[in-house]
Amino acid sequence: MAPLLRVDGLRTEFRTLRGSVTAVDGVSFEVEAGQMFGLVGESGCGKSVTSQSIMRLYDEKKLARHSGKAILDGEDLLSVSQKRMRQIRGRDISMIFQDALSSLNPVFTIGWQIQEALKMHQKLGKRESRERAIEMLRLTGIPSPDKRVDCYPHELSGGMRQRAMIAMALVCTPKLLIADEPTTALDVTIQAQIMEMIVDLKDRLNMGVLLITHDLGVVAQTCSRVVVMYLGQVVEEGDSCDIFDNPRHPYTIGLLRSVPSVSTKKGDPLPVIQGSVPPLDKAGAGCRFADRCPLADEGCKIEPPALVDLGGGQKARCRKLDLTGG
Amino acid sequence: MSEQVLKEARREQRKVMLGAILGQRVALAGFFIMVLIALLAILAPVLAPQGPYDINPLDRLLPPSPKHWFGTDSLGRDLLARTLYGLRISLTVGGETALLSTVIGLALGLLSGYFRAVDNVVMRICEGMMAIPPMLLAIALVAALGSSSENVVLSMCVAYMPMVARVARASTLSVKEQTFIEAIKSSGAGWPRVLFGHIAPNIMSPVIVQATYIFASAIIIEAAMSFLGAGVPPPDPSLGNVLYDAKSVIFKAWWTTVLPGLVMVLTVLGLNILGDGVRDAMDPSGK
Amino acid sequence: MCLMLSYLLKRLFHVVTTLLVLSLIIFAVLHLTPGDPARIMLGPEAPEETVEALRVKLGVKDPLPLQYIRWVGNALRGDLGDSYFRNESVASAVGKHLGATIALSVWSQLLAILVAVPAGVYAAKNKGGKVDAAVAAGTLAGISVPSFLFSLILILIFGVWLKWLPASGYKTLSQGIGLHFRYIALPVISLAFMQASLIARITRSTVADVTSAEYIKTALAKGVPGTSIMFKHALRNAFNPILTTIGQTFGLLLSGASVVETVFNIPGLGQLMVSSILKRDYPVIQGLVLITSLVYVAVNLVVDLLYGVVDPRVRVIGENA
Repeated sequence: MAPLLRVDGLRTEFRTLRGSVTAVDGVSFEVEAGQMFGLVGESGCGKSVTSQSIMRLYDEKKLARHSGKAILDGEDLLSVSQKRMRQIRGRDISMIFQDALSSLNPVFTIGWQIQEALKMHQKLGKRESRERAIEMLRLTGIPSPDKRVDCYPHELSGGMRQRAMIAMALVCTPKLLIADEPTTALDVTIQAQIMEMIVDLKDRLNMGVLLITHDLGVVAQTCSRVVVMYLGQVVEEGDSCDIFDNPRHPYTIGLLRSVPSVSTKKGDPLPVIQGSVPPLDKAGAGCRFADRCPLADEGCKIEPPALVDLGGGQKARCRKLDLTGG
Repeated sequence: MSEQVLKEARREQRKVMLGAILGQRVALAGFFIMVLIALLAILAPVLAPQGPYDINPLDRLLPPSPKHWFGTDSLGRDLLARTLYGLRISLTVGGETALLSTVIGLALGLLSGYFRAVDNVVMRICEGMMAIPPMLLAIALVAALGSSSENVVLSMCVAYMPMVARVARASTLSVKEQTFIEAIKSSGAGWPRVLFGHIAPNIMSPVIVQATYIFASAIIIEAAMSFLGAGVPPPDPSLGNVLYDAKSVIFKAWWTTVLPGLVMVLTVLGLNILGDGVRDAMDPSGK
Repeated sequence: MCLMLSYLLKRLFHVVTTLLVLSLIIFAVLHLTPGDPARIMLGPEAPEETVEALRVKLGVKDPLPLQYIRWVGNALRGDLGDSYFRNESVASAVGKHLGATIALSVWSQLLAILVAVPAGVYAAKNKGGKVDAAVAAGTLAGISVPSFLFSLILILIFGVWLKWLPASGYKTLSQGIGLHFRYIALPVISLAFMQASLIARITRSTVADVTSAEYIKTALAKGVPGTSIMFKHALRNAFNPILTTIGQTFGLLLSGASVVETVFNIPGLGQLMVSSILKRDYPVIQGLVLITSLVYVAVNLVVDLLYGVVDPRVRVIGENA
């Protein structure tokens, strides 16, 4: 069976004064229907750009240039017309963002905003669409949805706003939901509730979810497959259990080690990855992680590593895989 | 990175296109225009071919010529002379208004931003004053006080002062909360020192921008008041008076309107550009 | 609804205090006047007894607080006193001159909004483009060319050289729509220019801010088409700053109207103002300033209330609106 979404060699360049910058460089992965798929990396690794490129949200006349393929249900999103893309957005792919307060329009009620999404894609009467909105809010677990539907975003709590945004994204029952750091701005307890709700709705609606996050804990709990990105490239990909049990790329290993767990003893220093993500245009010819990698030698800085298939669906982009093998 | 790159890309696009046309270069142009205008005004006695009050009944309404660059008006006065001296008077009136209203407004704004009790009284009064369009307030005052250039300055100053006070108050309120003010207070400084020594220097930039706009606006309003009979009293040549005289002969002598008008537009334009430039330079978020 | 009501009450209370201060200021200005109103009205030759009788009749010898209360009381009943020199009350003089000024300001305001908002939106959408630069240059010219000068230039071009439009005078709407607009076209354009420039500037900058907001991305991700995003999502959010500017600059429009009226010889409040200033007819000046300010305050009250309707957040914050 063909996957729901197949991203193949996606490349996104931004035009700037100092020439173009490649923010996403040859990213490929596949999301299946009903699957929770994690896209992981530090901020600035290009994960949000990847998702917004798939949605074609950038200004293509002035700012961004895409190449590669993003095939949703047999249709290449990167080559369809803007008009067709508008039909697809909100109906076949939806997106939720990190900060629900600034992502919801402050001057409209949430009911209005949910109904607008409906109106774009389905012909429904006023009352029907209102009922659908209330129904959707109930599904996301908002208490007394028939009252909340007439609230403005500023009248809701952070968790409720995020639920309202999810209701808005799912009201047309899309095949794919892109969730861009959906819980980062929330309290830890609310985070868990929201993630649980997303997983629940994913199963009920049998949709694929592309979860973009820097939180490995969330990924471990919810995703079946994971892609790790660094500076616009996929550095490791695999089933969730493989990646967490047997990470092969030094960057993934570093990321996993720096997550505090219950077993971490008090007083033990938490291991960190040295340095920080360098600016994109400073990326050298060789491995992009070389400057921060504990295993890197001179060769790594010159020769760009290829994505090596490790079997069992796991791949890693490193020249020193023999040193990282479990 | 992605968001950063995007923001940078957008900012750069703006800079490339608009910046080249209207950015800092224009602010610099505004500065040079003002230097030129100020020089013209200062050198009026040297540049003018004759006095601004010299009447030559035989030379009435002459078009521009090598002898009279700007032509002459209906009384045969040389228009270049009247324009240059008019520029002098307009700049003086506008400058004095800007300076005076800024100093008083700044003091009131500082005090009402710092002391709540003062705030309630001063700001209520300012709101009441600002409910009257500034030009009307100035006209009413000139009408009451009698028409002279001192009274024109005084009246416009009263009309503009509340605006400066409001800007100064808002900035004072935000600066007062900052940690360094706490630190200075805890080191035992009295309120005059805190307020005028430490808060005042930190709120100068918005106040200066405001002062530039008041300068420009005062020149326009003085001229408008001349049209209503409440400006600098004739025969003194303010730019407004020169243009008011031109109105009655507009069918016969276009130059009496166009040439002094150009000088006036250039002056106000220079001040406005300068104000925009100062504002942009002080506000790096660049709206 | 409850929020809206409390917001409304707050605004009304604010307006009442403003009006109180405003009336005190206008009253104070009149009483700065050095002259003696009875003497001014009757002229220097009138016998002292007649003047004294008039003083008593006018109540100028009463204590100031009493005079103030009487003046406010009368003003509330629509009685603004009598002109010193016209054989009529201030209210009736104002009434006769009001029509032309209303026509001039309303048409100018409409023209300014109709031109400036689309221009500002277009410039913001095509930031950095040629149109943007043209709008920037045009608005800079608009705030730098005083309305009376612009009037003179328009008269010169369209009245003197091209002879397309009358250079002065006024015809009311009832004298014919075509005639009305032929006469009022130039005054309206001169007055609208600065107004439009101020509105276009604020429109451009707020729309530019609003279109880079996150919720625009959300709407895009929902599949909302570009025009709908612009007019529903962006403009609705940009509405308040634009509305505030329109309200605030309405004062400029009102005072600008006086000047443009004198240039075009339009029998409006401006003309009444000029003749009153020349004759030192203080009650009329006082009445004009009061009425103009009341209109200004009323317009801004409407703006504030609309503000609350458009932006639900304002009803809560209210105070800083």
